[in-house]
Amino acid sequence: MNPLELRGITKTYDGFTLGPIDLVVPRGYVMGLVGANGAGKTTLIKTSLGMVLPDAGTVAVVGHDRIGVVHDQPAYVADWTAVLVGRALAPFYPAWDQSRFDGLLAWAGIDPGKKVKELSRGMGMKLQLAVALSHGAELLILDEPTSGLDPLARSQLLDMVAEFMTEESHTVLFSTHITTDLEKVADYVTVIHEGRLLASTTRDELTEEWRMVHGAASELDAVRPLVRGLRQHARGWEGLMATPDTVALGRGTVVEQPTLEEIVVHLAKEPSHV
Amino acid sequence: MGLDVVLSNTSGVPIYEQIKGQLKAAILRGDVAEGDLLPSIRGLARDLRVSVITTTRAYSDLAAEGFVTNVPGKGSYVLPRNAELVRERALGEIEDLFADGVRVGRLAGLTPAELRQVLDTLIESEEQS
Amino acid sequence: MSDLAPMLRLDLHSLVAQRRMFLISVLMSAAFAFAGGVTFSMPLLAVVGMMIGLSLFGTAETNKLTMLYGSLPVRRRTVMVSHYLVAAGMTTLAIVIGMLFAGVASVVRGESAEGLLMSGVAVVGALFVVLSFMIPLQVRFGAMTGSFVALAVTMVISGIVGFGLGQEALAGLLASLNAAGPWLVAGLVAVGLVGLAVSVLVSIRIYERQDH
Repeated sequence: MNPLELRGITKTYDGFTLGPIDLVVPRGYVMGLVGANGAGKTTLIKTSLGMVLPDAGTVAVVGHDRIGVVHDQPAYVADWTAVLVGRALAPFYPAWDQSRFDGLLAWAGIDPGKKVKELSRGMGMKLQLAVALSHGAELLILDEPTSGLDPLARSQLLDMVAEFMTEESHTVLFSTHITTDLEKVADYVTVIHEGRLLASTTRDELTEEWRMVHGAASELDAVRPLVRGLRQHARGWEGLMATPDTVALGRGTVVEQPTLEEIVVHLAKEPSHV
Repeated sequence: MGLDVVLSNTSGVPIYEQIKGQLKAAILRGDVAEGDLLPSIRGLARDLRVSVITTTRAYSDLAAEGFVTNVPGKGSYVLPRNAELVRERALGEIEDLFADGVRVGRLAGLTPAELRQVLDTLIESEEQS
Repeated sequence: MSDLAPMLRLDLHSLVAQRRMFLISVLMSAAFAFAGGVTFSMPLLAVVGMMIGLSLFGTAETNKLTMLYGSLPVRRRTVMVSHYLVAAGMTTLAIVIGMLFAGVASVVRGESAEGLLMSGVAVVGALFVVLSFMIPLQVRFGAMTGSFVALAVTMVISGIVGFGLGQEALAGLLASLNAAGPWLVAGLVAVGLVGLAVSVLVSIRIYERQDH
């Protein structure tokens, strides 16, 4: 049973429509949710948690006691100490493990007596992670957890995710606009752009379906309509093409497997001429 | 166990292939004996900081090629090396690699004798190292 | 409601930032009471207590906490019920403390403490009525707009009552209210409690339909 399934989710705001979106987050894997800011990622996550009520569609998700959430900023009272955060939240979770929480605070280097408002961004993220991992959660939802973080804190988060995934009943939904976080650790990737789902498949399939192409000007006209996120410049052009379309290209073009970043950027970009 | 897997981000070779290649080499070298348990798929994914699907794919390929057997609930065990199978596979791979060399040589205008010379030199230097 | 107990504790913990303000108000109330301004000491503290209670609804701080409530295993209606209980509790607590100071001060100065209990209970009833109509407005429109609307409505009503009745009639009304004694006070408390009950149902309805 998958920990999260969204079917036919639609939500309309002023001037912005999300969906209809079908998203299945398979148990035992890391699902990356990528897209530009404002593409609809946070709305999808809030819908999954029941915070936003969709205009249409269904949400099937495991109980909140089995979910751990990390946001880009801690949603705790600014004056709470780290230890009070644990004390305030523990009663909600039957499976709360105080020694694990204390251990995670120590790992994070957080002084238990320090107030939430005194924590750096990285510490704030790690505090949320400590809470999320201390009550037997099977689904970890990370909503932009690494924005504004220094590389060390980012690395520590990815370490924790990797450790969390050694249990095959555990699942992670990792939403971010920083695609490099997901380059290696994501099993599945869902790409969202302007409220629409552009792709949802394994990361390997995604990087096999597309090719990053750098070509000479002479090659362009024949394939122009097939190029996504075309960037033309004085010396040539580059863009994303579906892999089967690249057979038409001549020897002078460079055709490479794209990074996740290149896929997301070029699927979302309008063609440009420098 | 002394089984090391070292990955390169820049080699251009897909991660799952690198993992597969290194495990295969370790098996062929005898770093792991037949009947030994390889690291778990998830444990390896954690250690290398790659996705679970990536390590799963590497292990599936190794199983398909006859190097390991994946037992659900237990893990992946190294299979006894079937010499015949290994030989056959090696020959197939070598044929492909040689075909590339022959083609390149023909385009460059090399004679069969010159090509064989290259091959002999390579074999000699390989034996010496 | 098994999630109510944890939620109540969470709400109490959320008020920690206002501890200091409450303490200062308690001290001021005590000072007023013993300095002779008995009539001021209790309402001051009562209003502070009520404001602290209202801070649970629709403020910027609460909106941040909404992200927390959204991921906790707690139902929206439980959040609302808990907020109401704590708001009513804080208000009542403040009035009780205010009354105690006023009572002790009166006794110390040899004045009569009679009628103090009645006023205290009447204030509880009256503030419960205020809470009943302010809270849903704050939940629906946010603390700023909501309290502004509530204030505007109160002023309009006071204005109408004040001008409509005239100064003397108002004083007469208050005097007769005083004289009506315990029954009126009990009535006021009853109205306050009923008001809160209706109010919590309205707020739950609003809260359950909102996007957070």
